[in-house]
Amino acid sequence: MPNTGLAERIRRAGIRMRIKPVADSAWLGRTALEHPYHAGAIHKSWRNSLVPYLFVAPFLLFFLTLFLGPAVYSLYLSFCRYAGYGSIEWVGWQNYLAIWQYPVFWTEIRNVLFYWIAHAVPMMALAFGLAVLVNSTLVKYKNLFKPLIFTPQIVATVAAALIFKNFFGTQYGILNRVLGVEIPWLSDLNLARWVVVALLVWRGLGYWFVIFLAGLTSINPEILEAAMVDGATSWQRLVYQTIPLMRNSFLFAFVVDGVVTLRLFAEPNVLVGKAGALASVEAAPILNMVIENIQTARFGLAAATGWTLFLLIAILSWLQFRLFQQRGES
Amino acid sequence: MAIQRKKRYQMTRRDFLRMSAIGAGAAALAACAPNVAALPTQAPTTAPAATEVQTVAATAVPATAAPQATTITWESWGGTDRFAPLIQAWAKTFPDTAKWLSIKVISGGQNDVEMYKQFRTALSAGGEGLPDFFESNVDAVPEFATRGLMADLSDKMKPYLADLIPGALKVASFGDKVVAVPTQVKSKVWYYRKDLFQAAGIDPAQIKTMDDLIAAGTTFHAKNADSFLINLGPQPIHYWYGEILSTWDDVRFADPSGQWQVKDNPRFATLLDLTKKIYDSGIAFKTDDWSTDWQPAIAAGKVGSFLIGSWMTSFIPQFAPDQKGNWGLALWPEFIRDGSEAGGAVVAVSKFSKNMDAAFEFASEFWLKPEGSLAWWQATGTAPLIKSGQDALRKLLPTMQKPADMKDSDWAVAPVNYYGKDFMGPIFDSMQHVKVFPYDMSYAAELTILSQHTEAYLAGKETLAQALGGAQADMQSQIGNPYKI
Repeated sequence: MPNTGLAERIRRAGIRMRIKPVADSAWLGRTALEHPYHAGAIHKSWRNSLVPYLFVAPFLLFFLTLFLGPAVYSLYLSFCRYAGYGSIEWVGWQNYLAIWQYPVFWTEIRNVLFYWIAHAVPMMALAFGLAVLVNSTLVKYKNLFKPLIFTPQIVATVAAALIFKNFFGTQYGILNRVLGVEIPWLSDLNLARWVVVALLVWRGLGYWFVIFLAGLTSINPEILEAAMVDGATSWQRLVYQTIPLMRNSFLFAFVVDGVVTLRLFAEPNVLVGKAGALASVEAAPILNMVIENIQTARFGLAAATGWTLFLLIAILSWLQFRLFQQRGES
Repeated sequence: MAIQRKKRYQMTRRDFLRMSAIGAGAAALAACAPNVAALPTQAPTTAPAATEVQTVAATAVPATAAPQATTITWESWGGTDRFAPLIQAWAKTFPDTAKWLSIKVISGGQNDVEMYKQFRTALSAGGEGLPDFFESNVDAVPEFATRGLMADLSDKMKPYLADLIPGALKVASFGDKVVAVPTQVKSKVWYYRKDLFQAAGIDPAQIKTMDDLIAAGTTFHAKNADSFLINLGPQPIHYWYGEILSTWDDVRFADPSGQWQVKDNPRFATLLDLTKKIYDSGIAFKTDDWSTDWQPAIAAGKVGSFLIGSWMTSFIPQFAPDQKGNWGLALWPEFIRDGSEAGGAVVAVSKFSKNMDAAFEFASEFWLKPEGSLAWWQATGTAPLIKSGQDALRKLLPTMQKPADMKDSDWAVAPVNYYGKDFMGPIFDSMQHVKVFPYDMSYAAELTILSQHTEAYLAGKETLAQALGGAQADMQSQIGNPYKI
């Protein structure tokens, strides 16, 4: 007989088991659960084992059918020349070499990296600062500020971009009219990129504010109180306690924001594009190249561009994980 | 002796995940696999899945020996609401045909590019879901005529060829075949502010060369300090390139063998050079067509004229209603007078259609018969492309009255009142100068690359040689052979 205590716990857990007695000298002193070769000794109910998989099966089915399957197919297409119909011609690495040799590709990669870094740093700093402020005792009417700060997030992306487009118009934009100048905010593409950054900061601020606020409220107040008792100033508590404890929130924020920004599409095209056309190269995100290739029936190039972008996002995300892990360890 | 029991299979977690992955992946690959077999010649048997669908039913009349009641599908882009009055206009003009023929309109997307994507998807599925006939811009004809989507209408069009204006036949032809019915010729028209030109002492007809244009623009700006002769910004709109390139007969992006000509054909250098001269000369208001500032600039009188396609006729009254009577129409300056803006538009009968005869009957009535072309003009403002239709319109214009269902405010800015009763004359004249650029199957991609390098040239980031060489190199690497996609 196996260990009575273990069997009693199993019985109380309501797990039905078949316990086969084994005439085996190796059995002595070991329970059935410990016996490595006794495969059929104790079994969970077949139904109980299957239920969790049934719950996740719909997601798995959709994921595999609508995401993984097409992704694998697009990887295959990235090595082919295909117009979306007709024959598929295998061309090997030709598509990848073509886009890597294309100056526009590198310009658009530079653009998305610029959009990411230029907007992420001020936006995260501002969002965290606002979260610290709203979470502190300095601010009254917290329930008023929280929805106010979050409001830009609920404005549709295209609507927000159109508002900014009118706001930053050169001849008749509101900003230039108020300032009494004619700054070509959108026609000078060097300036237009900063308008895109401004839009990204304006829209994203509320979302990360909420995330950081949740992170702050999850910090055990006793830790901060102990530091207060030890004589730490507010600034010291913020720098040496709060920020390190928020490391996971920051990691999440930077990685997710990076992924989203590197896949940017609507903001620059609505702001800078004309008559429904995509934005000019100097302000265009890399997804424009994917879209243009699809529109001109060059699916192989579109797939190769998409997979290159995927690789870039994966590498940058991995680097951020390493960076935050190293900082955490230090 | 121990009892031998058959070991029951216990599914492990790994087995479950493995089988799910294999099954779903196989299903996905099967669903996504292209139809590499030859495209069928039969029309689709199921009704097309429509983004928007609108059906205009024929007038109910007891059948007497009329053909069998038929519904044909017409696909275009944009909303379908605008088609109902067009089809009503056709039905009113041809009630006998409308007794048995109904038109179902399908929207293929927001713009023509979206619609072409749908066609490619349908072609990959063997032609499933394609309409009976569809609207298309001329620059898409090479791809879809080559790929067997457009029916050869050469025989059906023979009775109408003599009445077609030359530009219309060019627009509807591909190679030596007529593959479509022309609906619009986007000839080049110079819209200008008569009052501002008069104040500057400029006569559009006297501008024959590039130097004349620059000199006129300089004089114009000197006399009208708040206004510029034309507008041209740092990112010229895509149709600018086609308008200029179509001037000449001896230019194309690549020869039929796939050899690119951008670097070596002097016409491309002329295009870039001309654009930069206008941009740098100070005669152009530095804002691009359809930018945020463009329409307000027109309303404020910042732009004194447009070198543009004939479709602009209906837009100026909307942008600047209070400038009624101040706008005139003329031909482009002589040195770039010929050509067109993207050729024009056509309706093509699908080779997969089960109702090809009915589809052509509708198209021929609306666009190839004088009464139909007149009804089309009244409904859309697009000029007739047949000589008999143009003659009928010339007779109609001086006597035009407000339609009963039109508001007074709309009638006030209708082109006939906005520009004057003789406004169609220059448009008809411009159609005599129509030339169609020899588009290939990759024109959209070629234009994208050319515009990138032109913008760099305008900004001073590339020299002319670098811009042309870079454009050709990029076309070679990104497109390869433009006659194969």
